[in-house]
Amino acid sequence: MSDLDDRLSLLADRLRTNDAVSRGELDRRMRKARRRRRLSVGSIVALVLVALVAGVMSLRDPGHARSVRVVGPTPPHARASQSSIALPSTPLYQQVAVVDGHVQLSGGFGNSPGCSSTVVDATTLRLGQVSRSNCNDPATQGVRVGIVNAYVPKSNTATIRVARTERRRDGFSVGPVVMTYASLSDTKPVSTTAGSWLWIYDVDTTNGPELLQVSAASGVVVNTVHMPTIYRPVMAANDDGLWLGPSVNETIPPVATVYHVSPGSAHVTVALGGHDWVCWLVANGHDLWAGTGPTCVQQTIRRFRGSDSRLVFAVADHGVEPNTVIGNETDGLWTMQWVPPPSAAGRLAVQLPQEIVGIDPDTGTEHVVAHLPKTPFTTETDESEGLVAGQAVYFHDSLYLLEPPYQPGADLGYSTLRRVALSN
Amino acid sequence: MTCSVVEVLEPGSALAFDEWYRREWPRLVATFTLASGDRELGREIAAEALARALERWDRVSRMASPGGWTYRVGLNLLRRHHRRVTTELHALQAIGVPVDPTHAWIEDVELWSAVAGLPARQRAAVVLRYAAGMTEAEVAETLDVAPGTVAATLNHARAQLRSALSEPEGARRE
Repeated sequence: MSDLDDRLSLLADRLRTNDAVSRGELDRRMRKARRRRRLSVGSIVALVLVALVAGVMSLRDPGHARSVRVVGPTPPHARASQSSIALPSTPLYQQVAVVDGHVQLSGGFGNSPGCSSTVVDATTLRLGQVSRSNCNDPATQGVRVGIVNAYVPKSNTATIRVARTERRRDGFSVGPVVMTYASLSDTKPVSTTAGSWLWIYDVDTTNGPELLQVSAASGVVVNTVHMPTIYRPVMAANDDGLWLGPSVNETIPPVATVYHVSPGSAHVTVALGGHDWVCWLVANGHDLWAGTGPTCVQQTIRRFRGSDSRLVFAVADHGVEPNTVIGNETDGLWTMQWVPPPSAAGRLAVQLPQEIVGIDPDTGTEHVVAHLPKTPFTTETDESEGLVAGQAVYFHDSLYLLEPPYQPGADLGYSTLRRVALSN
Repeated sequence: MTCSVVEVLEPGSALAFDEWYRREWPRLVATFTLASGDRELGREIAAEALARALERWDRVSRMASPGGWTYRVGLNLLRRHHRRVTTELHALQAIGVPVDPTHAWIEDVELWSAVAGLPARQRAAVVLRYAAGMTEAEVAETLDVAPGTVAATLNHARAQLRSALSEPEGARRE
């Protein structure tokens, strides 16, 4: 046995501890996982029933099936043209965004420091030159203001500072610490930008659950709001302020479903009462779309308008179960789902087809607009059963979608970029 | 050293969860701590993987290797966690801030850092081999690759670790 083998074995021995979590803790986690389970046996039965009913309805009234995604005639653009390219393993590409009127991929370089970004030719999907930048630079993510996390050595705390692009200096600047929080492994601060503001929330700051409203222009905190306790929030912002609610991964029962904070207000209000979980939020202009429910299998899709949270519509989801949605009023709302949902596939590594689903921003009606080829998915162990943040972007009537499998040996970068033309 | 510590059961036999998880816990924590470079995260991943095993215990307990299934779940959870925070990690590395202050409590920081610097598959093979104590065949099954691939991956990993630690290639103990 080599010295190296000995050292590795000794290190492993020192890392072994007998302070196992309690059975009660495992039971609690299991109940939480069950709550997250997005497709129960009951929902499968419900889907089958809906499919049967819709099938009968489509025979009697062919037009009806267009409003139900489960069965019925495929819309004309479901055969929308698609193209794709294989992505390299260096650099790794982890998200897609529209930056300065271009589709941009960004990611990292694996074990070497720095972040990468590349502009994509929207027509040919050809990748442009790779640029390496400081990961703290918000421009890397396609925004002008962002947060910089830093752990405090020899402590269990971390700090947040605000980074801003400095166009005059062709660079960026990082301001003073604006928030200090407990760096527990399963909660982390969330932030989002809209208009003139950057919003930052964390449940475990030195001041308790706290929301900061930061000027995107100056990086200065202009408002601090004491917030309800939400360990795993879903958050979105628009011109009317910040919207936030407990995700399906939340660890404590919800007191309300969606909260709202207006710009400049020191108070949080309840935009949507009840005790449901938030599956997704999309905020833009003066509109908010939300998918909420006791589970994401039984969600209700709502649209609110204005800072007074006026309800425009509320419709039941028809079995699509979106958990991340992108888009806005002009582009439409879009999501991707695996078919069947991976939790129902029942095997470890499988290839599953995908569907692109459109949600009408004016009515909440869901419709499948494109079928995609089978793509590798690891079931049971990976909860990303649909679209995940940063995986897709809508640009010029097409959806640009990053696809697994993840790069061999790296596990962090997607391997394919697919374009799905969505125009009629 | 080729001792196998991953319990292999006769297909169809059930195993009591409480007894099993308390026995597996130390190796699971060591594996995911070494794989993640973070003591708290390692513990969190181990607990979450066990909760999922508990949720499916009727089926998992009858698998030939419940432990193998659980390690695979944990590695996937870790991969998902890393995807989520990788940009943040890059940012921290870029400004030279220690990614994990908990390094201070372990003696062989140099080796731990070297393991953390391995490519993902090499790191997974190393932690399963040394922290989980799996045989190369078990590592291959857990990672869903050919046994020969595991042997080659471990060789590459050892070479990279020796290089990082400046340990001579042929260094062997009597």
